This record gives sequence, C-alpha cells and structure tokens, in this order.
Amino acid sequence: MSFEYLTRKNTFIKKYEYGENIVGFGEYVLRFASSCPLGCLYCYLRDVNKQKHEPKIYTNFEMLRKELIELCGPVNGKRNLYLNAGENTDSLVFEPQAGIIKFLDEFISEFKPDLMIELRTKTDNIPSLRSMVNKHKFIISFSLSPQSVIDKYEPGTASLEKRLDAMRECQTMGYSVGFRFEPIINSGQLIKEYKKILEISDEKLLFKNPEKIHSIGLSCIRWTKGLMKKIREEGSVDGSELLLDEFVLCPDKKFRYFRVIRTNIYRRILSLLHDFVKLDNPADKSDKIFLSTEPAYIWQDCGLDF
Amino acid sequence: MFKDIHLTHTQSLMVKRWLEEIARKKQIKHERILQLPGIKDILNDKRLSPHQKGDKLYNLLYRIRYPVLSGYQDKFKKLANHIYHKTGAKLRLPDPCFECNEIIVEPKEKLPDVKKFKKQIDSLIDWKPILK
Repeated sequence: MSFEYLTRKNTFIKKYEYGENIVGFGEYVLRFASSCPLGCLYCYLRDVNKQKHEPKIYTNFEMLRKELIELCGPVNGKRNLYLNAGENTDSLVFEPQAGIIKFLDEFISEFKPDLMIELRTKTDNIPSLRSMVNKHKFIISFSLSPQSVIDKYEPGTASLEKRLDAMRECQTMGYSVGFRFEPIINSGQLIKEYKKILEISDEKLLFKNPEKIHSIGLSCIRWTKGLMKKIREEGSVDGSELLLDEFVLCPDKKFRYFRVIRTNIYRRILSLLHDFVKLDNPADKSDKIFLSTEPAYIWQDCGLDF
Repeated sequence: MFKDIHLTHTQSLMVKRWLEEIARKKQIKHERILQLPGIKDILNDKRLSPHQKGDKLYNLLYRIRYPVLSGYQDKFKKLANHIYHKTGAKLRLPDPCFECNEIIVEPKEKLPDVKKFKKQIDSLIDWKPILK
C-alpha cells in the first residue's frame, strides 16, 4: 500500500457529528489518515477529498498521546469512551507500516483508560492484531456486503469470504467482532444475498459464541449532495445505476432511500438476523443490534429501542 | 422534444434528469418515454395551455420516476381529504417525503376529531406519527 507520512496539524480526535435528529452513541473519531485507498464508489470520502493524492498517515503520535490522556486518562478523563478509528479511512489497510494499532495498544497498557476502540475494515489485513496485548479493548468490525456489491463498488477490498475468514480468526485470537452491514444497497436479490452472508457466517462458526459478537450494525446507503453530483458527472454505468432508486433528503441533509423502502429492508434483515444469531439474553438483542445513522423514527418503525 | 410546453427553470432541470433516469431504469430510449401512458395524451391535448401541459408533464414524470414515494404521497392526500370532509381539519406533513414523525393538524381545536382516525393514519406507512 502506497502512502506518505505527515504531521497532523489539527486534532486527531473529534467528537462524531451524527447530524440533525440522528440517533447517536456519543462516539469519538480517531483521524490518523487523510484518505482511504480502497476506492469504494459510494464512499463519502470521495466528496470530502476532492484532490486526488496519495493517502497520508499522520505519525506525530506524541500529540495523539496527549489528546488521549486529556480525553480519557486516569485523571479527569471521560469514562466509558468509544473511539472509532475507521470513520476517515480503513483502520487496518495501512498496517503494520502506519503503526497506529501498536501505538494504541501500548497506550492502553500504560494508562488503562476506560476506553473501547473500534477498528473497522473491509480488508483481511489482520496479522498486526495477533501480537496485541489488550485485545479486550478493541472491537474489530468488518463492513460486509454481498459479493455482487463488492465486485461492483468496492474495488480495493477483500472478498466477502476473506473478510468472514478474517473475522473468525479475530474471534479465535480473542477479539470481539462487529458486523457492519453497510452500506445496504437495494436490489431485487437483497434478502437472498444477505441470507447467503449469514449462512456463510454460520458455516464459519461466527455466531457460535455470541459473547464474541460485540455488535451488529445496519445502514442503508446514504449520499451527500456533493457525492451524488460527482457520480452523476462521472457518468459511470455502475454509479448512475446506484442513483436510480428512490432517494429522499433526510433531516441531516443526507439522501437515503424513501422511508418505506428502507424500513422494509431493515425489518427483513433484522428478521433474518434473529433466525441466525441466537442472543440468549433479550437485552443483548436491543444492545447489540443497532441502526447506524438513522433518525429515531426509523428505529421505532423497525421495533428497535435506542 | 416538448414543443408548446412551458416549464420553469427548476422544472426543466428536473424533467431533463428524470427523463434520463427513467430511460436508464426502464432501459428504453428517450423517444420511447413519449409513448408511455399519459405522456402522449398531455403532449397532444389541445385544451391545455403551455403552463398546464408543463405542470401535468412534471407531475406525471415525477410519478414515473418515484413510483413508491408518490404512491404513498397520493395515499396520504386521499386520507387527508377524507378526514377534511369528515372533520373540517386539514392535515399537513412537515416533510413531504415522510422524513419526520409528525402530522400538523389545522385548526388545532379539531385534534380530538382527527385522533379518531389514528388507526387509519398509522397504517398509512406503518408508522406512529404524532398529531400536532
């Protein structure tokens, strides 16, 4: 993976802005890279990073260390903090060269903060995770899509099969994993394809130990106005095809499938999930399954508590 | 393509986009769209003024481009009309695409009368809107 090293001028950590009326979890975002090299067609970063350049990794970890101490250190630090390291780039794609994972692990060993870190990926690049000391402090979450979606829209990523193998290996290493069904793209084959993902996951024993599943997130595809415009201007067949569905403007200024369409999608996938994932404790179901960046009324429509 | 039709600037931008998208979605040529039910009738209707033709064409293309959404919008309109005739109260969605959980009732004094229709309102899109 080709990238440059750079010094971060502004903060590494930022409170996540969910947008108007969106159900939030108070998480923080760790921004250790300038962009993502995976090149997913639907990714919001394509609208944010207008110039094409090689990704840059910010390596002034001493500054990050200070921010982390201030935010969650033993003195005056916040409790129960959730840090997402996969919002601005793929968390694992630059490892081990970037060294961010090792740095975070060492920080946790030193300060024992009340902190959970989510590493989110579409790769199977997990060797760096083997030697980590504080595995219980990390959630390794994998964005999962049907292979047909991966083939069309996620050029630089690992196949579904490889991602699921990597997930299982993470569980075996001792990590809790996160299923991130995101972005869900509406198609005639949608339910059949998600059932297939769950069947393969089941075959690979990913649901065998529910305590090794940290959470399961669902989110239908969403667009910024800028990205929609960019895709229209590019005129690619695959991109244009994605925009042919019925998208409406939501309170957070993002475009999503019309409410009835996406609620129907969520309900059907939730029903499938309940068939496959046996979360014995009823509280687990509401705690572990969530909708990502959706307004409260969509949670209600889907029968989920928030 | 459309002689004797008046469209506002925004309408023409949308009509142009929708025509492209409908053509792609239905995998037909633009010219074939003119043969779609209703469109030919609008274009050939001599009783309509250019403005009327523009509005009708715009509305019809919207329905073709957004069949699910427009279907639910029509259902809401129909139910709102029904409730208006029964109670005298007007129902309004703060967001025309249902991206909110409220329905505005005017005048507010009619709220108790409208609440009698709550079941029908809830079943509209399987939601639980707050009547305000």
